[in-house]
Formats: sequence, structure tokens, C-alpha cells
Amino acid sequence: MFHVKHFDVIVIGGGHAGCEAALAVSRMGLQVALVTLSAETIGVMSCNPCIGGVGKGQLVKEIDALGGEMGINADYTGIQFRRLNTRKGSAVQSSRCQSDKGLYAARMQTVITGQERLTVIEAEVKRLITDSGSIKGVEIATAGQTELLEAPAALVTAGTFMKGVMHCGEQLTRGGRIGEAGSYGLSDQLAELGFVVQRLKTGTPPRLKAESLDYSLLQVQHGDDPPRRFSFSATEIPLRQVQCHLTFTNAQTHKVISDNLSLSPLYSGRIKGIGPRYCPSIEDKVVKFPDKPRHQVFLEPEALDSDSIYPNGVSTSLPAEIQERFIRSIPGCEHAEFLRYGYAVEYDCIDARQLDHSLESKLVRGLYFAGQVNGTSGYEEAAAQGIVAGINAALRVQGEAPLRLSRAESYIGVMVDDLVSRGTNEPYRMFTSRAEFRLSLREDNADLRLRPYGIRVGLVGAEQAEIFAERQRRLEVARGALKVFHVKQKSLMGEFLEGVGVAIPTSGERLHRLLKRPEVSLDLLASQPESPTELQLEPQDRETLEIEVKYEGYIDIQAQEIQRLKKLESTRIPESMDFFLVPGLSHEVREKLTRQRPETLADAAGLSGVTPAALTAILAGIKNGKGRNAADTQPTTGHSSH
Amino acid sequence: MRSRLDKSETIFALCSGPLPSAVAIVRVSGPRALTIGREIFRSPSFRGEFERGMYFGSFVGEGETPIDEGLLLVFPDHRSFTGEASLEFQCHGSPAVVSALEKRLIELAARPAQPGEFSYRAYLNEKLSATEIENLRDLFRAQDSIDVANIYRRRDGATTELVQRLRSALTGLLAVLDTAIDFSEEYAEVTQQARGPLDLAIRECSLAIQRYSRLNGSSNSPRVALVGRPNAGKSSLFNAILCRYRAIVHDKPGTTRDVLEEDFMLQGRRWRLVDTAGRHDKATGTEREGIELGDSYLEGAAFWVLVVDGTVGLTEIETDLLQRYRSKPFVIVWNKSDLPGWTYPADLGALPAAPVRLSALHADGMEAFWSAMDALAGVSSPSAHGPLPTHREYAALLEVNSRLLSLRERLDGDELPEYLSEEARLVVNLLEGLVGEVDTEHVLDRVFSEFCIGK
Repeated sequence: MFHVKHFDVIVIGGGHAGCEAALAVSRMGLQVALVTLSAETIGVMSCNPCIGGVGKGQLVKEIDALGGEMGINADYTGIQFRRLNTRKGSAVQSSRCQSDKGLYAARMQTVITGQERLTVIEAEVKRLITDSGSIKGVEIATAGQTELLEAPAALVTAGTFMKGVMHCGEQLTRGGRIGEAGSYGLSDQLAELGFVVQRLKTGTPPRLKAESLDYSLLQVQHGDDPPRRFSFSATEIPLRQVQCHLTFTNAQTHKVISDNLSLSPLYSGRIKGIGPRYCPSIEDKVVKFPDKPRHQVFLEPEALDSDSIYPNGVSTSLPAEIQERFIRSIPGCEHAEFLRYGYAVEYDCIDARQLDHSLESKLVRGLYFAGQVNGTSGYEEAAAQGIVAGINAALRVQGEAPLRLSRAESYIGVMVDDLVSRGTNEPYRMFTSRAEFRLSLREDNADLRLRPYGIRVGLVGAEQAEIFAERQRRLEVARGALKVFHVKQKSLMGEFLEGVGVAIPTSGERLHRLLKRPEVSLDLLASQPESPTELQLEPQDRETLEIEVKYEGYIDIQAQEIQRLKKLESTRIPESMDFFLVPGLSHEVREKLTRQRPETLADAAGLSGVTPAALTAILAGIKNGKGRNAADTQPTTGHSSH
Repeated sequence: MRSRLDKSETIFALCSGPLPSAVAIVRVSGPRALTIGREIFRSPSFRGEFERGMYFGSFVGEGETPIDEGLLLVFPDHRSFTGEASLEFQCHGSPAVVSALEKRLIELAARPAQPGEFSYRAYLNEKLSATEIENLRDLFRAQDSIDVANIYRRRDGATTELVQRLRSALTGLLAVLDTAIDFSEEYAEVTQQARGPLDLAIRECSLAIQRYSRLNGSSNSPRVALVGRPNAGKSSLFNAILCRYRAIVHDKPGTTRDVLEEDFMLQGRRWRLVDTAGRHDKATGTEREGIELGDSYLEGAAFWVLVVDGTVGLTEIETDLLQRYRSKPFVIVWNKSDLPGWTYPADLGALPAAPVRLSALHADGMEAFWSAMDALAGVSSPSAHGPLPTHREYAALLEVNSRLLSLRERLDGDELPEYLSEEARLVVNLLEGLVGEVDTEHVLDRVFSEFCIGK
């Protein structure tokens, strides 16, 4: 006997991607079901107790600008905040915080359960129901009963749970996270539906008991004082702030590891999945960099009140007994007690090239994928995809055109474009170097870049929209004041500036031009009684304004490129286009285009080997219909059906 | 890295047909076009500001050296084919004139256009609709064919060792700078380590520039060198290949002191035939220089023809050449079969290949010679011998060199890594045409192999 329930969107999985997706859909006014194996694990931080980092901090700010929850949650549960890269330049600064793990998940669960139109269902998804290339719903098993959930859109955020296998030494356990079952039917069905399923691997270090560690000799790492928030909304940082510690591995540690490599499933060949190179296990570090005498280990508290320490830098899948031996060779950890051993986990993910830029699959319409299941790694990467997929699933149900974020305006756009146009063969993590418009994609202006989208789709409420409009107005007025206000040499302000070494020409100088000089800060200008009142700004506004002026030259160059890129992005290539019918393309380029199926001219331009001549040929093919498959009359924009 | 989207640069190309021709048209487009026009164009009536129209006068190079006389069409604003300021130089269609004009344009910071780039700009500037572009597609093809060798080469994915080293140095540079930013928690102070790959890149870049300066001729065609002792009959063979009287043929040894060059067709492709001075041990003065120049041409050649005087046979000089250049494809010609003292070698085992019987003077035996040449042309694709940089690449190399030098100053001045990295990416974009794409994945590959990343 089947129970049937109806929703607008079904979200499978309650991790960081699933939470953002379900919240986005319900906040946009639709009914959503969040199906999870266990409601207690919604929003759990499976690995390190930390949000943000270089490149990732930008993602969190962007999620927040769109109207997501991650930044807000991080502010309310953070126990140490740091701004990274303060000495590397303004544009590449990133925020990072340590979170109280338990509180992070608990607060997220409160938000989820308190959200209108959002129903949490504890069950395992048995099967996706599809009909002629579109999703119709999912079949779930709960308490021995089979139920049918019907919806015109569904979203898979399976994390590491699809065919998850955990390795700890020679011990193998099925499951997606320690102590939790995996999901075993879904990836087989996806393969049957034509999805390319690949195997990846990731790992986590052991957890140590705080009171068993000796901090007396270790380097202390303080957070920033005062801490700076992630969210553009009016949040607070209510929790007590703590410190972290730094220690190092040594020759003895490395010896224990290399002597026992044969016991590591990574080196015995039992693990076939590909792990991330930027987050290697300690085994990898010792083998690949034998000349490095020591490796950093950050000792990060997992919560304010719990006794658990996360030793960041020693992810491992060696047997428990070897883990104990090498950890205890590290200064400060001589008497470390283990709360849990490290392990590696292998899991299935799909090839994201089978998705389009709205994260909807090309094979099954209405079926979206987000998070680790797309081959990424990291909470922030997952959450960012979750909000994109959630917004787009909702837009689809509402009959609206999808939201596509450009590489030129966001890290999220860079990530999604990288994933769907190039795929990945190791867990994908965000780096600032992936963004070609890095100087324009900053944390301080994430709201200026993305808030308007959040407002347009209805994720950012009226109150926040008004706060944003206020900030835009303040900045606009201050920009004008900088351009207009003229500092005379023989004025109080001119004399003060000359006094601190800022030369003023006899004809005077505009503030805007003064601010461009490396030795002049906006703080300095604003501190003068004669300075225009429009410059009396909050630190957040001041930062944005100062970067805009100081980086003007670079930003202008990038702005021109961005304009051109956007023009190409807005030129769509019809889905039905047969590149073999387009005259003037080389065979190699035809094959590449057919394989990659670029959605727009910009996507085509991003493929290697596609020259300007080839682009003009494609463009000609679009306009005169030469590449059009005669039997096919699909529209060239938006979805082919609703 | 999307340099092909960039229209801040001024570009040029020969847009008339193959040279020589009655008239050649070189088109220039971009923000610097009018400035460039003022630098090159001279006329007594010209007042220094261009209006839309046609001007007659002379074209000059650096230091007012004359290049040619001709017409200059000026499109000072968006009302042009590309939708931006443009010029058209109409000069005499001589390869020497066009080459001098192109050289001047590069000196004035224009860069050679990529195939299709003018039309692409017209599209970006909304001057051409897609349908109009399609009507122009044949024109793109014409532009492609100007650079056939280059296109072949890139399609084959072949790059010279030099270019690979330059590319590797630049990738290494980006890897260090991005490590300083993306992995600052592990590597806070690595920026100064950029000096190693930066110096390497500067060295490789100057090497590439030197190589271009040394070997640059008016043609980019792959070279075929004629080599042999004095009076072996190289000039006769040169003429026989070109089917016309070009080299001065004389029975006095040492007649050819310069290097003579002409283009000829083989296997449907254009090749550059180079007649080098004769080789003997006692050469002095001008003759010696001629031989050294010949050596550098032999190194740059796709393959070579050893011309042996069949009335004399092999001497140490031929043996030495065969030893030194054995890795480069060659054909041996046993010349002067018309003379009574000529004998074909009895023991072929002593030779690396069976010689072709020939009388170059009477063009007797040329069928066998051509079939040997056909075979060599087949194996000597441009990619196999390491091609010369083109004008376009030369322009990029010059600019890259000066940017790398300024980057080193900024590194010494402790500039912020984010600016240094931005500048380094710009340099890589400039070289994309030459070194191939260097994308994030290549840089990350280097980061992960050279730095132990991961807290």
C-alpha cells in the first residue's frame, strides 16, 4: 500500500547543501520535503570544526548575499574568527571561523524545523521516479513502509553517502560517516539512468581528548579582536572566543608512519578513489615530501564545552594502534587520549559535466545535484551549490528562467562553471586562483555583487533589502563626495595632510585622487573636521570604498573584460545545434563541442582550441540555423518543458 | 585565461592576398591606431590630425627611414569595419615593404591579429550581425592560410623545447605567487621564492628573442639548406630547383658568399630554399663569415641537401657534416654526372643513404631528386624541427620580456602578492598563443607537486 504525498521540491540529504537548498525553496514560497537518513545529523560538521578560509570565506559571503543561512549560522556559533591574508592584498582577504560543532548543527536544525513549508522526513530514498526524461518524485522507505513523494523537481545532496565505505587500517565499514549507514541503491539507479558515476576519497583525522594534551609548550593562535562577522544581515557573535594551538610532527612521527605504510589502505591499494591533493593524509605528506622535516598540526577545539580536539593536518587511515603511536610522538600530544580514530571514506559521485549551469541534470529534467555528490569537497562549496540548485529548482517549478551566476561576478559562478564545463577528477575545492576576476570578487563587495539576485528571487526579505539599499545609497553619495571635494593647499585639511607627509599641489587636489596614493587611507581623510560628512562611514562601507578607489585601474580593466564576457554569456547556443553541420569548424573542434555541449558562446570560448574564428563560425551557425537539426524545434532559451 | 576577449590592444594584419602582389593592404585596428598613423605617415600637407578619409604620402620607420609610398585610409572613430579606430595602409605588395611595415607596427606596440580577430571585434562592437559574419567566413579562411605553418603546428600540439621551458618557468612563477595567497596558512612567506622561476622565465624569454633575431627572415616557411664544398654545384642545384637563373653560377670556387634564399613549392607547401656558401678548411674573411652564417641556417633548417662533387667523392668535410647533422633529415646528391671523371660510389654501405645521381647544371636526374625531396618533406612537418617564432610571437615575446623585467622590480619592491600574481597572469595571457593555454589546473599541478599543502 503506497502513501502518496505531494511537494513542490524534494531535497534528498540534510547536509550543508541540503539545508541551503531546502531553506531556499521554502523561503521562496514553495513546499519542500527534506529527506534524510537521520534528522539528528542535519547540518552536522563531519570533518573540521571550521567555516571559511581562503577562497571559501568568499563563498560564505556570497551565500549570505543571496539570502542563505551558512554565514548567519557561523556568526551565532563561532568561537574564533580570523581574517586571513591581511598582508597579501585587499582583494584576497578571506574570513575563517572555528565553530562550536554541536551548536552549529543544533542551530541549523532549529532553523530548519522552524521554517514554514519545510517538512523533514526521516527515510532512505529507494528510487527516483522518472517519466520520459523528467523527474516525477521519489520512493522512500520508512519504518518498513514504502511511500511515494511526488514533486516536479528533486535535488540530490547525498554527500559521501552513496556507496560510502570507511577505511581505518584493514578494517572496512560500510557507511557515509562514522556510525551512520550509507545509501546503496541510488548510485546504481543513477548509473542506469545514464549518469557517469566515479569514485572519490576523502579522510578525517582522529579526535583527541582536550584534557589529555599538554599546551604549555605549544604556540598559541589567537583570533581577531574584535571578531568580524560573516553575515551582511544584522547578526551577532554571542559566544565566548577561544584560542587554538600549533604543534609540529617530527622525524619520529614520520618514521612510525613510513614503517607502517603497508598497513595504510591508501598504500596497500585497497583505496581506489582519488583523494584531494590539497588536503592530503599524513601518509601522503610523509611519502611525497620526504625532505620536509616537520608538518604543521593545528589543535582546534571542536566546541566550547566538549572535550574534543580536532588535530588539523593529520588526516589518516592507518590502523588505530599506529595512529596512537604517531600522534603520541608529537609535542604536546605525548599522552593524548583518543575519542575517535581517523578514517578515510570512499564514495560515489557523478560527473558534473552532465549538469547545466543551474545544476539541473541534462539527462533527467527537474533533477538537480549539489554538494559532494558533484565531486566537490568542503562545507562552503556544498552549501553554495545547495543554494544555487535550490533557487533554480524553485524557479523551475514557478515557471521562471533559471538563475545563472557568471564567472565574472562570483566565486559561486566560477565553481559551477568549472564543475559543469570541465568536471573534476579529484575532490574540487575553491581557491582564489581559480577566479580570473579575483580583484573584483571580494568579500567586502559580495553583497553589491549578489544581493540584487537574492532580492529578485525572493530569498532576501524586504527588511534586509532596505538595509542593502541604504548601503548602496551611502556608498553612492560617498563616491560622489570623493570626486567633488577639493582640498586646498592653504586650508586646515591641506595643512594637516602636508604635516603628515601628504604633498598637496598648489592648485589643490580632489579627495579621490589623494586616496589613490598608497600613503593615504580613507580613515586619515575622514578623520579631518573639514572632511565631508558623507565620508563618516561604518568600517564595512569604508573598506569597500577605499578598495574601489585604490584598485580602480585594475578593476576598470577587469570591468571591460567582464562586459565582454557577459555579452558572450548571453548568446545561447541552441540545445539542438549539430556542430557537424556548422561550416568552417575543424573536426577536432566539432568533436569537442559535441562532447561538451556548451550552453553559451562564453562556454564555447572557454574550451581549449576554440579560436575566435571558430566562435564566429558557431555564431553564424546559431543565427542562420545551419547547425539546426531539422527534426528539432526546441526553444533556445530556458527549459525545454515545464 | 581569456585573452581572446581583450580589445584594449591594437591589432594588425596583412589583409590582401599572398605577396608579392601589385598592392598590399595592411589593416590596423584598436585604441592606438591613430597614434600609430601619425608615427608612420608623412606628407607635406598633413597637419598632424587625421580626419575620416584617404591620404597620400610616404610611410616611414624608426628614424624616418623610408618604408614605402602609398595611400592611407583613416577611420578615426567607430564608423569602421571593426567599430573602433582603424587604418588601412595601401602599399606596394613587396614582401620586403610589408615586412618593414609590420616590424614598425610591432615597434609601435601593435600586435599581429589572430585569424578572425577583426571580425570578432566587429561582433563585440556590435558592427556585424552573425549573418554578416557568415558571409565573411571565406575571408577568415584567407587569413588562416597566411599562417598555415602555425596552424599546423598548433593542431599537432607540438612546441619547441624552448617554448616548453618558458611555459614551465611561467607556470612555476604563478604557482609560487598563488601559493602565497591560497595557502597562506601553510606558506606565509613564499613570495620571494618567485624569484627563481621569474629569472628563469626572463632568461628563456631573451633566448627566444635572440633566436628570432638571429633567424628572422622575410619568410616563415620551413627551410631547406643546400650544403657542400665549394664548387660542388650547390648554386646550379639551387637554380634547377627554382627552374630559373637566380644564383650566379661560376666555375670559380667560392662564388657564393652570401646566403641566397627563395621560396619554392613542395608537397603543396611553401618552403624556403637556402643556398649556403661552400665549405672548405682554408676559408678566410668574408668567406668564413658566409660559412658561419650558413651553419646557423643549417641548424634552423627542416632538412638539408648535401651536394657532393661526384668527380671528387667524399672528403672529411662531408663526413664531418654528416656526423654533426645526422639527426636532421637529409638527402645526398652525387652531382656532375655529366662530367667524365664522375663515379658513383661502389660501396654504398659506407654512406648513411644512397646518393641521388644528378647533373644539376643540365637538370638531368631531377625526377629522382624530387621524389627524395617529397619523402623528406613528408617527414619534416614544421612541428618536427622546431619552427621559428612568427612576427606575432615575436611581438608577444618582446612585450613579455619587458613586463617580466618590471615584475622583477616590483617583486624586489615587496609589492603585494595579489598584484604580482595579477601581472604574472597577464604575462601568461600574452604568451598563450605561443606556449598554449596555462590554466588553473596546470598551476595547481605545480603547487601540489612543489609545496606540501594541507593543514
